[in-house]
Amino acid sequence: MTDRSDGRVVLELTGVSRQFGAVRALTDVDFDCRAGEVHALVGENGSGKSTLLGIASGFVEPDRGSVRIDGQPLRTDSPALARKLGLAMAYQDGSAILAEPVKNNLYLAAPPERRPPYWRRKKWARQLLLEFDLDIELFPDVPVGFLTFAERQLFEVAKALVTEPKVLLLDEPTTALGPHEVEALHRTVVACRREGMGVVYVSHRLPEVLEIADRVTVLRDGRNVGTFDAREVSEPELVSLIVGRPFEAAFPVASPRYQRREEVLVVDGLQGQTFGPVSFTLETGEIVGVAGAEGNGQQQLFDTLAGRTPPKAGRVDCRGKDLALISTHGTVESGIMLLPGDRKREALMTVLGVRANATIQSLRRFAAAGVLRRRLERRTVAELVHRLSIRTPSLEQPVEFLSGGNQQKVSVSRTFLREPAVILAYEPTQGVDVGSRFDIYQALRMKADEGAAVLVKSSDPLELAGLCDRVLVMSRGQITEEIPGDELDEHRIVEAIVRGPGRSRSARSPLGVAMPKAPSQVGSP
Amino acid sequence: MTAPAVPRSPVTTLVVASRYVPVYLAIGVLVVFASIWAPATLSGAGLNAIAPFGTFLAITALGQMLVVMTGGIDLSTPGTFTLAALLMVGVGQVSDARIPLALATIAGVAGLIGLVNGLLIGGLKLNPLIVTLAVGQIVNGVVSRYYTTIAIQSPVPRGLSEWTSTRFLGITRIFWVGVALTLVLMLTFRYTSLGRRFQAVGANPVAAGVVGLRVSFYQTAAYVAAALLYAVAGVLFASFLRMPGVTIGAPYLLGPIAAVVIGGASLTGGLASSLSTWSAAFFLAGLNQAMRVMGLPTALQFVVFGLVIVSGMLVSGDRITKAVERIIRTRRTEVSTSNTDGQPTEESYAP
Repeated sequence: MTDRSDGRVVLELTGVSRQFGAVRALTDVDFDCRAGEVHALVGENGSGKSTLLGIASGFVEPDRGSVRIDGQPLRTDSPALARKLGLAMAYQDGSAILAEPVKNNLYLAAPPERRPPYWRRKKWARQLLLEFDLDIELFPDVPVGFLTFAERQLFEVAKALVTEPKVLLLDEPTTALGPHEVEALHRTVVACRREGMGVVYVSHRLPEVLEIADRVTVLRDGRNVGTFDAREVSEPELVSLIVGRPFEAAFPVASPRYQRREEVLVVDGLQGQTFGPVSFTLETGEIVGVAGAEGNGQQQLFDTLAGRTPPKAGRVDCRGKDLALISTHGTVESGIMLLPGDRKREALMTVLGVRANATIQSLRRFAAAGVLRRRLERRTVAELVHRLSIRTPSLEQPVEFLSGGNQQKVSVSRTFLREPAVILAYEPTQGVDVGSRFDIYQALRMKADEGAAVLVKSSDPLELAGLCDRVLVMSRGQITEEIPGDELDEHRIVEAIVRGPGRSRSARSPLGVAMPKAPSQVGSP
Repeated sequence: MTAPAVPRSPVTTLVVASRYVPVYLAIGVLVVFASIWAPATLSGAGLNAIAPFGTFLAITALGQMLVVMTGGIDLSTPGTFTLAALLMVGVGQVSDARIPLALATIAGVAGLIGLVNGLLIGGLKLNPLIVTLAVGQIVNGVVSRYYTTIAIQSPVPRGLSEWTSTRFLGITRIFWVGVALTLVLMLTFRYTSLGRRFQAVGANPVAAGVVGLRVSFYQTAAYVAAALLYAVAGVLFASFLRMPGVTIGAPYLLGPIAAVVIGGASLTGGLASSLSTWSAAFFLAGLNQAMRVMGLPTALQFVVFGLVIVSGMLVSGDRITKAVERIIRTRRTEVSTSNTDGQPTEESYAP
């Protein structure tokens, strides 16, 4: 085992820093990966993992520091050059051309000198997929868009391997995979290691990481807080290294609790394309968090609850009424309001003013026989602007010219003009400055105190711990755990996220693949 | 109950209004230009010649504006326009008693054309450019066939042509119909929930869907309303000409689009002004008249027309608004470095 550490360094990042606007994504990070080792990179969402991979693969230019691939410097931020130097990356969200068949995608991914004659690419593709031993039976003629998410994710690895890289970057390669598929992937990774490839393995799932990795590096707030031998470090030790972000926001006090607790939303066996079945219950006056690594079905769960994508199975009751969940119009009328994460695209009419955006869901309040009472509308919005401290020069200011925080407040203000039973807040503070965060937390808390149930999806455990009354943890589309209010802190949430579906190390198969937990009982009283 | 002051800002008003400014500047330039080189354009007779043509263009442009506000485009305008004109002749059969029947038929047929467009585009999300082009082609086919069934040289019912040729306040009634329609649309967008929702759907259909608006309904309705407006213009045109031909719709393919663009509408949807669109139509009609007065060859008239549209795109609403906002922001940032009294500073704006 130790002889591997004698391998030459195939990827080396020295003193890398990168800043995006006011956010320091990476600060003076050193990282290396040797031939014949698996080097895992772990950290919270937003700890800088993606930026690090972006810099290593030439997509992001570092402000300072240098990248060497197989000893050669990566002088400019060029993905093509990085590839030429022997680096390949499997992207989490996929980089394949969905409309093209598997064989063409592989063909395009291969460097020209490794491509077969064009007319033989089908046979070649089938042969390659067998060699990679990823346990996916793909017909080379099937368009990638027709594959399941799990197949696509494995195919992404195949696409990277076809370049015969010296160093392979895997960005969260198992988010869509079941235990069996994780096993196959790990088998392939082990084979790559044996052949002397350096593998950088980025994952939230510590059990998987500890199983497959030789070394583990922990990133926290864009800094390297340590590199460890995977055999000498334990899961709890890693968790305590991962957490511990400086405290940056205050939270509203979970105030005099709403007294009349009753169920408003009952989700029973709800299932969608990439999640489920999930069951849980929301009560009046509570804020419930949804935690989990990105891409574990949270987005789809929210979209389904909001009526944007119809569910495959299951039922949802809101205020005792069975919801069809086939149109957003229907769900909004039933009292479910979604605050989408992608504000500019999905929440706001950016060219319209603050007033028009705020009242679009509650025009009935301001209209008599279809005619708007503009004075009443202006006065009401002015009050809201004041109450939520929305900073805007005018009620008519197009929201595209407001800051992220104020845009989000405009979006939140809509819930104040109706009496929603349930508010679904997806990443309510993403891209929001620290100052505005508190205002948004407070607004959500105010709505909860008025009797709404609030479901908050956030990738920030600290935020969930501070804001929520309890937290549901999602992994691979399932709710794997519920953290009650009295146990709620950042450490506990991170622990639940990184543990993945497996309960403990002993519960895992010999290859270190987590056993699937039975669909959770969370939510049933 | 402390009623906070409604934040108002002249600067914002300026930014928001800036997109509609170029058309009025253009009209100013045209008036100056015409008074020097083609003074006959601005004479009473000249203006009376502009009024009906400006109105036909304005009404079709308002229809096109509704479609553009949903982020679409309608190329079936000439077909619907011509078919409405011919139906007035064909169903009217030179009999005043049949005018209501003719109008009802026209409304039904135009509504149907719009509904087909609307359902294919708003409902099935097909590409508006190709759908309306194809539907327009079909309507053109119907028009050619229908034209052969109408007695040659037969006019529209007398009552209609007399009504439209009568003047009100010294101007043809056609003009006042256009003014009325413009006002109706203006008031709808300003004072009704329907108009507001329509605007929201156009500005961002995804977000409109999230907030629970029936996006497909509004998108479909835009094409139906547009087709009805084309039909109104077609009927007015028929009564103006008395004996409409089969090619009368041709200028109304590009013309209305040009008016909408010059009128400052956002081609990505949502923002447009009925008044500016109406003004832009009259600008184009005036330009046309001025070129005729000057005796420019037809070929050159086309070139000038095209150039005007391209310039309209160059100073299009979105570009103007962004530019004005940028200028104001840099100004304000400079000031606010020394003055931070809660006024927005650079950080209040998204980068």
